[in-house]
Amino acid sequence: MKTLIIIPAYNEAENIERVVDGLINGYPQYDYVVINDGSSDNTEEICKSRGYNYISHPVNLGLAGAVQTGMKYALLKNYDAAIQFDGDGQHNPEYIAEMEKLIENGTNIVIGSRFVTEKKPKTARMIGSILISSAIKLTTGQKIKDSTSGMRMFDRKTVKILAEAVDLGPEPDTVSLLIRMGFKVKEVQVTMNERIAGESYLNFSRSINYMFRMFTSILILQWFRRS
Amino acid sequence: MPIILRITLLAVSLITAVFVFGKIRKSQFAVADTLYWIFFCLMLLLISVFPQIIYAAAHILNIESPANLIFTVIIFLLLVKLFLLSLKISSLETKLTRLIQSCAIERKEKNENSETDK
Repeated sequence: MKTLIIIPAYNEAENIERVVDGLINGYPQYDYVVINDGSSDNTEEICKSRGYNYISHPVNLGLAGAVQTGMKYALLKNYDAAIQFDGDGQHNPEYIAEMEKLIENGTNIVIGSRFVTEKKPKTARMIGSILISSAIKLTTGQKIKDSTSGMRMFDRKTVKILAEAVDLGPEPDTVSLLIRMGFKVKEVQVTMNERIAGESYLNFSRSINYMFRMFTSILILQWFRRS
Repeated sequence: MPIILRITLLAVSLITAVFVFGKIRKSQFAVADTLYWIFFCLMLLLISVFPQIIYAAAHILNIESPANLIFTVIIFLLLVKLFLLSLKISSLETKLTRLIQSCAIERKEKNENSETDK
């Protein structure tokens, strides 16, 4: 089974070598592609000089655009599955094999979840995740424990839809919509690391904005969206 | 507030909602952009069903006719939308310029490379 690891990277000069070298050295059985989303630091120069497999956007598109470019590439190169993988080192490749097995057995979307066997902590940081999980449970009946996890693997059928759709970003509301459309979604227990270097995109106001948009999209807007 | 105004507000909010949801359904309208219009519709709906809110606000702000307050609020919301649109257009122009320049330079480099290959 041919799996592509999609690594969206925006200004990840401090992390990208660690992440990609980790994959090349430890997990050479997987293909990868770095999507440089118009970084203003020297992410691109690093990729070029190290000979990494990368695609560069001339202009910043944001995470959704970057992941979609990866999906288009996966579709072009005829991969069986594609997995979203963080460029900052928070995700661990050791769980990819387990996720692949579920895809092989017919699951459409496999989410690398921190909370399958581990309990979700009831902290302020997790409020957003808890609320979004409740919204998904309410509208689809399925309990997604780590709804905001960015480690998601998609099968060939889902990759094609994500590559060509106008409004299906790598977000929990897309997962919710796909569940409602009959796609099979399963979670696999993984561990994730804290960000070591660089800056996260999410500050307080952006987090609130994000949660509000997800909530509205899952609870209200998705009822009006069709395949 | 005259009943005819309330009915008009209700009708407008419902028609706008139908339009917006129709566009979402056809995937012509990105979900994120729709939030403003949904908020707008809800607001009009709320005012038409519960004009007491406007009466109270008009009283506090010392505005004589509640209808005037509604118009002011709508104008304000339109100004906000206009501002947000201006920001968006400005950002799009910058991106387009960068994209065009990137394309042009790439094309030039490609031509130069094929010249030196000859």
